[in-house]
Amino acid sequence: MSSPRSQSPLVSPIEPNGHRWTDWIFSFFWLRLAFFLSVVYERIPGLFSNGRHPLEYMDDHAFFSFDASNTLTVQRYHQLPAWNPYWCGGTVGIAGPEDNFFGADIILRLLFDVGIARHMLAILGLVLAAEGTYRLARSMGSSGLASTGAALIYMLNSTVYPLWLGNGFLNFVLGFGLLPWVLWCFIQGIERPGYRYLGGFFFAWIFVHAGTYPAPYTLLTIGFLTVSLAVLMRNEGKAAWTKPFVSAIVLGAVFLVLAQAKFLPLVMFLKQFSRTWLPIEQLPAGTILGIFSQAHVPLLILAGLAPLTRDRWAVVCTLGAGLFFVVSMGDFDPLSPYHLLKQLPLFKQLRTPERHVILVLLFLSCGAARFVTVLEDAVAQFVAWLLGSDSVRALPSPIRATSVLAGTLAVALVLGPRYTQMLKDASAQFSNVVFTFEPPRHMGGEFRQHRGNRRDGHIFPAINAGSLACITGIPVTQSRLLRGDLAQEEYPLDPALATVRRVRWTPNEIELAVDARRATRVLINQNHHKYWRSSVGVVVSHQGLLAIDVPAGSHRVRLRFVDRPMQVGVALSLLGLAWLAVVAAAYARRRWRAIRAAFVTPSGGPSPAQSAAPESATALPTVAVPSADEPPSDDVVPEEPLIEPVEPTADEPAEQRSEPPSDGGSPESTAVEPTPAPSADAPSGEPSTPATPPREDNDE
Amino acid sequence: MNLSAHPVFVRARALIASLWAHAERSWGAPEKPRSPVIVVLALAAHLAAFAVFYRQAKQSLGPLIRTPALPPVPASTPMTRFGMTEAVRREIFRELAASEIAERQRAISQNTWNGHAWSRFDDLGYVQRARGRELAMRYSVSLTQVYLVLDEGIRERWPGPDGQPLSPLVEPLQLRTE
Repeated sequence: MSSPRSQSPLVSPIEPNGHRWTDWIFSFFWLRLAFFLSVVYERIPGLFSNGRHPLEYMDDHAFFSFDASNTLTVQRYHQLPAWNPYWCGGTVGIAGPEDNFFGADIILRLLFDVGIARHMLAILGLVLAAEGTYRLARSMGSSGLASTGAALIYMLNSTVYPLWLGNGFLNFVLGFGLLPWVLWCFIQGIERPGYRYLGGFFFAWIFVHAGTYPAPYTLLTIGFLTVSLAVLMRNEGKAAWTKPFVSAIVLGAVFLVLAQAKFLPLVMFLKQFSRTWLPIEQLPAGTILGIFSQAHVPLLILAGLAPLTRDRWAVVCTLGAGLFFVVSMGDFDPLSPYHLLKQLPLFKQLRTPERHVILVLLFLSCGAARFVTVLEDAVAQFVAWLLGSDSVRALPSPIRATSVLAGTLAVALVLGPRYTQMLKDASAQFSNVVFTFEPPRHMGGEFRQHRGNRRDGHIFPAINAGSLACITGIPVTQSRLLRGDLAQEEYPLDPALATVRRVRWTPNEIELAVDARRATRVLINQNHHKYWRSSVGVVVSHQGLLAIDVPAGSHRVRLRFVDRPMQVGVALSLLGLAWLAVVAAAYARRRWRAIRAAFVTPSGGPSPAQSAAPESATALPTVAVPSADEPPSDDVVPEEPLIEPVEPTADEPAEQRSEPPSDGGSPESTAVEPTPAPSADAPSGEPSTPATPPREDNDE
Repeated sequence: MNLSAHPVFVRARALIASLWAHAERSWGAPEKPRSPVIVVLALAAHLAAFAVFYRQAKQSLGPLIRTPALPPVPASTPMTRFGMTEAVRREIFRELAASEIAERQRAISQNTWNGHAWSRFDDLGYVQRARGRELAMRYSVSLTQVYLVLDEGIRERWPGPDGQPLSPLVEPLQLRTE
């Protein structure tokens, strides 16, 4: 059994990863994806049918319209959708908070019909949610089985996802599906900088994919985890508490660079228009609890019991669940967390505090996974105690394998039906996810404004028309002069003074032939915006309408929408992506070298990777990792690090790992063997680098 | 001049080398070498896992991806536009206009939204959507065709039941803050 810690108030009774060979079954990435996909397929069949149809709810039609106009702008006009003339009589495109153009999932919308792409996006969001939660729970040291359970609960949690999916809030579905990935990368990034970059990428994806709520919530969650881990790691070595901050700061910096393509234009947009939300929202605790169904009771019990094990991650998860539960209760007091949050610039425009329930559920799922892991390990630990063995790892292989299997099977048999019930419950709540509304029919023709209807916004881009009737999360200025009955969309203010003919029309660029007898004003049936530029004359606002004051004479007027902040942002994002590509290439090379080393050198010999790598590459910048050939230094404090040690992987079955002899062995025999417990009077300020290398990413 | 010896080139190369070294370090120590048998078995296992995923994806996503495209709006003919005769189009427009007039009168008589202009206009959209779906079903046309008829009627200033054309204007967006 693990020795209790002398320096940390919280101990982790869970055995280090590695002895639990059953985890190996869950370590196949593609198998997990197939499993999660099959669960979505079975539980939410509505997502897999009526590919071209939108949902019934009106908001889905607006989002459908944004996707359609973006796709149209790229595919037909070969432009970035900086300006969206199809909504409200013209409004910003990419800079708009609800726009998702730069999301990595853009590929789906460009490859498939918008309707099909939106179905696939919902499926992608759910599968990503499951896989991310699995990885997050694993990075907290939970078993493969327990992590899979957590993944399924978060993916089909039946609290908020049915509502978001049913309403077409796919930006929430994808954003909160990516949130566990960011947290996973943040935790991994405490020891391995590569994950900080990856985490920044996922965070940026959340942000650019209309992450109006998921992005601030991600920020909040990282903030909570950073502080929690810093407190918990304060005794793990010199300045160990700074590591979570370093991980968070680098991740945040990478996010900022990658997200610039939307960040800069969005900031400019928000400076111009701000959202006012006056109601004070508060919900009693009972109402929040009511969001959870009866089927969640086992989850609440498991997560509630978890801290009793004094496991550190369980405590973090319980604290997280508790904190976000209180945040969900809204502005019930001037000192309530939600009220304080609302004082911050990013958070003051948010509403609906009960949406934080998604974070409560994420932490509950992961906390429950920790307790399930304790239960799973209990059988093997009992056997070890019975046989007088120091630890499960010291048991003879057949006994260890059998007892681990017995633990996994026992947990699966006892908790399986409860988790299945939760999934069935969720399945019933997803019955509203039916794509039955009539899809748009296409029609060619010149662009013109339609009086429109925001409740059927999906209809208009397909017929190359804008919908003047609209809604946006942040109210933009809409001219009173916009009309849905014009013979031509560009016309002179005084027809007696000039004639105007459209030569070429694209969303971001309009070319007009103007013949003016005197200096006059030409009106365009779209809203004015300060980023419009004209090759002739001056762009002005005519009662909110886009207009140009042109001099007398015949002119070819070229009107262009130039969003400079967006252009700068795109350049910065591309730089960030280039750096990310380098980091990814380094990772691929590392994996390739590992594979090649197996065939180039005799088994057991030094690999070319090791011999060729520069000396600095073998040591992490933030933590000294003892090599397999040298014993850990004596001053290592044998606390289990928050970042778990290497565990068996699909590539590395448990049998292949170097094992200590059954008598406990010497520390030299393995790099992952825990060192002896420190004496109780060990100086607290002594360096205490974790004795294990950082946990490998086993599930890739 | 030897370009590769140029200071700028040398510095750039050193910068790239240092960035690459940092990128390599960022993933931690190199992986331990494994036996060829284990590597081959692991690759085979991953391939098999991928095959399982591919099969599942093909089964579940295949029909979704192959959803046939809907026919476009019928092209105009000498007798029809949007696949309908003018008489049918006028009939549809008249019904749409009737529902709009009724909704405007209801808003005034019931003082809906305490007179908040945008909210009242937004309610028109709600009514229009319901009536549009009903008309699409009744005349066996698509909702898109119904909206095209509405557009044509407004542009051509077709009279509604009250003899007046529908307004081509919209109430500018003004969200409620309460």
